[in-house]
Amino acid sequence: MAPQIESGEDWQTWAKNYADHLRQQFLQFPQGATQAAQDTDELQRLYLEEWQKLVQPWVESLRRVPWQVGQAATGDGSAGIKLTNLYWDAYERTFGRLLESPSLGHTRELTQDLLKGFDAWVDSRRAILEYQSGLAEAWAEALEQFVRKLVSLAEKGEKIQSLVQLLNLWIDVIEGVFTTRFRSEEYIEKQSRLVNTVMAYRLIEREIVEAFLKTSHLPSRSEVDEAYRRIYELRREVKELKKSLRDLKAELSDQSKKGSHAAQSNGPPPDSHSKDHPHD
Amino acid sequence: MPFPLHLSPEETLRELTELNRKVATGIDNLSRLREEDLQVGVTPKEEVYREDNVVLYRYTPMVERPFPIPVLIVYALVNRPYMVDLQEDRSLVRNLLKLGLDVYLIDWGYPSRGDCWLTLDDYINGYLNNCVDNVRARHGLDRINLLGICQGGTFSLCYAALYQEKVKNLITMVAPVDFQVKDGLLNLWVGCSPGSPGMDVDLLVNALGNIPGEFMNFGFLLMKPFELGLRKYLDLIEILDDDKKLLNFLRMEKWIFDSPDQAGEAYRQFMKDFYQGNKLIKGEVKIGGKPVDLREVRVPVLNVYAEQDHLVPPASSVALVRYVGSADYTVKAFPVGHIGMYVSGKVQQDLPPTIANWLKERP
Repeated sequence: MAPQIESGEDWQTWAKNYADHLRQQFLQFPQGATQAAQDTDELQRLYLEEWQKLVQPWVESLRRVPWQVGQAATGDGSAGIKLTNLYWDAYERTFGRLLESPSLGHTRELTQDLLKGFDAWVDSRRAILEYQSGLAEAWAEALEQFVRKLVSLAEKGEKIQSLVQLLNLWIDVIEGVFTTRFRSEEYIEKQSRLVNTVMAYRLIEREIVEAFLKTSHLPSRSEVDEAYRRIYELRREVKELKKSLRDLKAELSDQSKKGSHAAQSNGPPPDSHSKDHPHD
Repeated sequence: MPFPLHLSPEETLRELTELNRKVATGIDNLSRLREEDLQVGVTPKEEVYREDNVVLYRYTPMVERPFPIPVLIVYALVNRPYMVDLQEDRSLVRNLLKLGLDVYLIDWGYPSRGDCWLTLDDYINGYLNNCVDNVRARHGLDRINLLGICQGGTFSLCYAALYQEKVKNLITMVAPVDFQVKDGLLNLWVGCSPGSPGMDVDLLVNALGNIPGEFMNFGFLLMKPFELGLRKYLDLIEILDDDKKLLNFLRMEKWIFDSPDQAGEAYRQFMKDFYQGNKLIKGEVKIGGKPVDLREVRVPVLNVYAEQDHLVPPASSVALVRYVGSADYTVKAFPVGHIGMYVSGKVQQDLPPTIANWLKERP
């Protein structure tokens, strides 16, 4: 405004326009403020909703912990597994869900591998825990059976008079319990899952390691195996060729022997100048 | 009700003292022993053929004129074949030699990572067939005798079906034939029973390449965890002060844990086709593209099995009678376990003459 005043231009109109603009701003301010407040409110609401989605599964899981602990105290072997599963389930319903979505950016392939590796690791840990829980149940059953066996011996009037006898009895009982359990479908399923999930993790772990080896100028297991495979195939090919060569040589040798044998048994060859020779 | 435990403090103390005395003596004995003292496979032999890791041995005959048709022992890929010649007084090989047989043995060797691509085709149509050809050529024979042990018995059956013109007589010893038997814990774990989950063999082989010997050992130990992991070593205390028994124990211990890795592709096919698919008795096995039909095994067969075998249940071995095409089929059982078949003193008195006489009756 000052330069306009100095140059003698119409500053009053400009000042009036500016004042009008300010007045409109002030008049619109409540509406804008209201809108801003509404937007802020909406944003907070969205944050709260998402936060609730994130926290709720964990809260639900925590609410069920005392029950599972109580179940475990009553001797329910699977309660420990269920307790752990509460946390895994909460994870899968919250962070796990997001992590399963397609990755973004330059390192998306590696990120996908890392996420797969984490999932595989989680799977294998769950399988290990379930397996160990099964073994713990077997131990508990073995102890129970051992006590029953002692009671049965007492009822028959039989006595255990040495540590070795006691130990052998214990081994007999526990071996029986475990081998029976090992035949059950439940155990077989747990064992298979343990082996399968650990191997699956091992495979993805190798992929991840190889991704880093590549950047470190080092050969990887897969590359070496590929080289071994080609050596194996070449070795087979050489063996087959050698065999074919041997067979051919043997056949030639046989034919040569047959030829010389035939020549010996037919006597000396006919005179080439005899009148019976076709080319005479 | 009377309490069954009658462990008086004095007797318990005496027992513990005696135990400790044995342990102390045993430690003294053990300290004097070295790995080199555990001599195994001592019967004299010579290497007559070698291909990659595989070696064919001929045992030095013990009679002036051995039986003209030699016998080739085909052992399993699992564990080492010196089990049949573990020590001088427990050697199937030595006893067969004394009975006048000419004995050969295939040593499959120790597969390395590079061997993970070896298939059953390589083992049966390759190594085994080449060894058979070598023995045939050395003796100028069209056909020889085969003695297949455990998985080696299964291989020998496949071989006899594919190359019956090269086999004179076939002996199978504790060999699995029908793999879907509920008696076998190993069978159940691998997933042989219809509907049972079983393990993913493809995943195992893809992840590991070769299947480590330690993994196999662990599986075998798990079948009788407390017998083999605890009682065996408690019993060891009783023999620690006996040098001869201690050495016997240690030799066996050496063999049990001397397990080669299993070549991955061969393991894959064996587990999937034989164990899980039970394809041998169905006639669906193919070795190198060649179908294996047990009905084509028309040579005389002697099937030997162990009545208390927990690794290869008797039902798995005796099933052979229903599938083999041979008109001259003999079965013989021994009241021992899988390992007892090789090392039991009683069996070593009966088994070698059974084999030798059976073979000599079929020249």
